[in-house]
Amino acid sequence: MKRVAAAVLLITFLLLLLAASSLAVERLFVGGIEVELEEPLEIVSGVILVPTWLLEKHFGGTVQISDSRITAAFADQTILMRLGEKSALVDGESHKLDVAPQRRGNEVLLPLRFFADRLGFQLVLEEDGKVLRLQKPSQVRERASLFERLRQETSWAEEPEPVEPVEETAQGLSDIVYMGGARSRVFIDLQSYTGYQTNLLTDPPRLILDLYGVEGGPLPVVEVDDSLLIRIRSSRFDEETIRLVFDLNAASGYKVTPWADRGLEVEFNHMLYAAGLRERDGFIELWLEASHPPSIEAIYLEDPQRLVLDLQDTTLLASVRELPAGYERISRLRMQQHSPEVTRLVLELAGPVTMLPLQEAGPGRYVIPLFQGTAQEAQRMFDLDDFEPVISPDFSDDTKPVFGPQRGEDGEGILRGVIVAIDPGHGGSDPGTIGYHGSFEKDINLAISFFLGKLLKEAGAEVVYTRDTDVYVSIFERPEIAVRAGADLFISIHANSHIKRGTARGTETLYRANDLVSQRLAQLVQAELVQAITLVDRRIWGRDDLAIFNGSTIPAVLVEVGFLDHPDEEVLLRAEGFQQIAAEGIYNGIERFILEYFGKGEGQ
Amino acid sequence: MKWERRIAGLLLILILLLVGRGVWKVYQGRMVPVSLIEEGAPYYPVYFAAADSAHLEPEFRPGTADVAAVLKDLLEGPRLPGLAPVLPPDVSVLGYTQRGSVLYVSFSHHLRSNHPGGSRAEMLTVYGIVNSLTEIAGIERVQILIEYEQIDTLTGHIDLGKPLERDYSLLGSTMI
Repeated sequence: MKRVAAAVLLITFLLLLLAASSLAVERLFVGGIEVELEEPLEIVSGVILVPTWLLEKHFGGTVQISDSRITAAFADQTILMRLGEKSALVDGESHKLDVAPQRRGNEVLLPLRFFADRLGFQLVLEEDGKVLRLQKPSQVRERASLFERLRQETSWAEEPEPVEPVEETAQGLSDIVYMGGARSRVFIDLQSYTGYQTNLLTDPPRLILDLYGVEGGPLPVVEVDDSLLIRIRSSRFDEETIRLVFDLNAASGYKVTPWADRGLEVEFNHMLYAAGLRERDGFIELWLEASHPPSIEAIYLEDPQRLVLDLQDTTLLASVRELPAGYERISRLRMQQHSPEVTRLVLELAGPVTMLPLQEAGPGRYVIPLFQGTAQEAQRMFDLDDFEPVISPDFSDDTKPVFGPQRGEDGEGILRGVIVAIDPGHGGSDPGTIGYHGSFEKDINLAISFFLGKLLKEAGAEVVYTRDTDVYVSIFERPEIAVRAGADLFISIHANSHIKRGTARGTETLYRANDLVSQRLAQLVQAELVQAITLVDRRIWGRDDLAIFNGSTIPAVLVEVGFLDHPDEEVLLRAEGFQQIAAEGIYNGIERFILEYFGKGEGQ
Repeated sequence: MKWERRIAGLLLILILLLVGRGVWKVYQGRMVPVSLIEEGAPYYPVYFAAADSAHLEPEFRPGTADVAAVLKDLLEGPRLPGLAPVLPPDVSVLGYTQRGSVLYVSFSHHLRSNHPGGSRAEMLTVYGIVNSLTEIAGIERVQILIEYEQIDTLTGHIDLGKPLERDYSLLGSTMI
């Protein structure tokens, strides 16, 4: 009996020891980088307290303390606290703290968790609480699964096995290949790895890429020295990890793509160094200083009027983010890193402005002339034949479409002899989906259908509408109308909605499943439409369950131009200018299809 | 007696310590259980929508699928964050019956009157129902009825006048 008791006592004692030891954090990692700690971090009532310098050095903040006020400013938020008070103020919102900020000698200690939460880090305690890792969620998952795996695989022997000097093995890092190009692509050749983690650091700018589950030694330094990438260093970080450091000229966005068979590829974004507006030869120009000719997706939005330019695969390095412009029709230029890949420029407008094509104005310098008027006015003024305005609001009603196909003279349209059935979706008692702000799908479908019909007629085609007023027509009747009229094509015009309203955006085209001709029609219509209206391409979908497809055998598609339940896209779908551009996109797809399948319209 | 009490006391302390440490660790690491299902136990998928996604996403439930359970799951909606129900609000199931491998399910009128419309939303609703129910052994096709009546369509795109088979194209590339 006594022995049992002694054993229990011993176990309890050991457990107590273990529990006690977990109350001091001896090593701290922030995003994979170890922080040098002079003494273990203090834990008060279960909350880890950190000195202010740690927040400044490792979280990129600035902390000011005057009297008892603590002001911690970070890139995207400012956090206010008071010494001895258990509350914090962030953007006017009050938050409760578990432990108040407190003074220790010369230092002020702040609750780490609150800052970590606000900055999007997760806390992971390892090795019985002696090691604390602060990571972004994606890193936590990779890291956690790695630890799970290690836990299962290793028996946690008393002493770690000494790392044997390994000669180049198949499992190791075999090569670092600089492939160059505008995006400084680098291929990391290695047979296998269990995971990776990246960290972009500043001062000096560098990208850290930790590869887990990689054996073998590091490789010699790869000197690159292009406009962005200086060199690539590798080192063995720990038993499991090879660390690559990409020394950079600027902290650029990056993309890591694991290759299917082996290795991974790293590429960096283009960079936008500066942008602004200036006047030259009576023109207002948007000038850009960039590492590469930017690939721009532009869209025009109303309420308030603005022109949005998305520079793809571009990191914004400009220090000025907002410029008042003070021109008659352009009041302001704003810049932001919209997503890791996209830099967004917004021109706030007071009237129609048309973007003319991008021009190169010297190495690394680009200008986009901005015409203060509509696309038609620009067209007339410059008499450009192959001019394609990137975006233009405010189409007047009676002018011929600006960027439709070339038309034959005297009504000798290239689509002569073709009969197209246009099916404006829903109608009458069936409003279709209801927009975010309450517009009816049936009205938008009809408006786009009329624009499309006009374009087809102008090109010489004959047009049959399944409805041309606000009336209910059943979905089984619609294909019959087309067949009775001897139509060659069936084009149904719709606007979409997601079951989780307001979350989806973009264009999709549905076609009759297992029908290659309909599929080709859908491909061409979708491609041309997306190019015209620059909404998200949600691709084409073969369907065998739609009534309008099953009632005939002629090539048939259903175009979902955009999502009416999304507030932004509803604004577009309601705008006549957008409806016209959408109709032109669909028309271009139909025209390409007819030329491809029937040759010239009249000779079908 | 004394020893027993002491041992009991020590054991109690021990248990408290272990529980306390566990709670502390969960709190610190924000450990969220990855799966709702125990390993090795039977489970079945119920399909829901994900924001912005054109596809249906499975959520796995413990147990073996039967019609009542799957319909209840569909009505309850997803448990995982990021997923959305495929049925509009206020819908109820009025009844169901199976003939051969075809299951007929009658929903209340809310399935239509509260539905947002749009072809993508209609596809997600219809095949959220059909794909979930065809996971049940013996059910190959499903016909959706409203207030016990056969309907032409739900929101004006899909022909619902006949039983529908499972749609694999809506299950996302990883599922096929």
